[in-house]
Amino acid sequence: MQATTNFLKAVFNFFVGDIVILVGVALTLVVVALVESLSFLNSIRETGGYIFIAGIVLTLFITLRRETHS
Amino acid sequence: MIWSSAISAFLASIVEFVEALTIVLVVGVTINWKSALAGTAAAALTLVVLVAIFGTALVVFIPIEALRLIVGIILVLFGLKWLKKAILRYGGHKALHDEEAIYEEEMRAMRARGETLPYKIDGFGFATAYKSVLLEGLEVAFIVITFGTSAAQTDQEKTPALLAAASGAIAAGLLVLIVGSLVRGPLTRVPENTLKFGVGVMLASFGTFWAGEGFGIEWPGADLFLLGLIVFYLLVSFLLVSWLRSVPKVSKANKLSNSLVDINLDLDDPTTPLQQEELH
Repeated sequence: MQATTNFLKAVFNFFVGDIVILVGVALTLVVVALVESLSFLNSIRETGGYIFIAGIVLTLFITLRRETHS
Repeated sequence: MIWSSAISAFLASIVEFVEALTIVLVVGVTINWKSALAGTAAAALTLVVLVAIFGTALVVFIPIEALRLIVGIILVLFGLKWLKKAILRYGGHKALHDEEAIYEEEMRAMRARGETLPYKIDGFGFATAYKSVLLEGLEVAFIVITFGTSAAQTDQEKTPALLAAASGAIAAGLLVLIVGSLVRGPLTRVPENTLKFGVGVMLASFGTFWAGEGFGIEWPGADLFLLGLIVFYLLVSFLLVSWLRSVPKVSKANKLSNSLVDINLDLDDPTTPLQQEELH
């Protein structure tokens, strides 16, 4: 169990090392996937790329803010 | 596109190899060069094998569309991680990587271990050089594989693109090795943070572009949009740096004393610090 936890921690630290970045990017991806796949969101489908970029920039801003203000 | 993977791999590799060189130098100077070079060679061989196995598996088994989505997401995560560190350093909220200080510290630790035989391979020296080159090189190997396989436009281009990225990393390794052997000291003049900043912007831009394509997003201007993305992320990063420079730095000592004040407030008053703030 301890070895598994350590392995997962090492993988997390290697790829991201920051839970805010992981959650921020994951949420952005979910939103973009919904925009791209749900038929009733057809009207905003063209903005999917911009939503993706905005989500990434917002994630970067939030993690920096957390580092400097906590 | 293939050039982009070679350049990104080259820049990312320089940063990591400079860090690895510092430890290899310490092992070479304090223990002996045989152990340092043997450890470095063994780690380099391990990395080549890893790139060959995983690179080939990705080239052969995974179609380019699926690869771009997965790799794009991972590159965004990687890019944000690098960019965050570089922005914090430029903004003055994190100390710049000081190779000289790391070199001196490692040197003291190694010398504290005592004498070693000068011409035999020392297990500790070998393991230290191996570990440092392998750990620093793993990120490079990952970037080489992801960039190399995703920069290709078609499945047929995957192998040349992977080779281009690997060539970029090898060129960086050779350059650091040559300069390091000439200088015979830690490479303190390499602008590590600038490189990290540049590579972070590139990883985030390529990651956004490829992951977006993987989701079916049609970027305006097709491949040209990538240039726009790089410029946009650069501008955003510069804005974030200037914002961070205006944010006052809170030292660890201040944070600790603030938390102690909070604890004292808790002891004097049954309400929490947040509730006390609300009351005032």
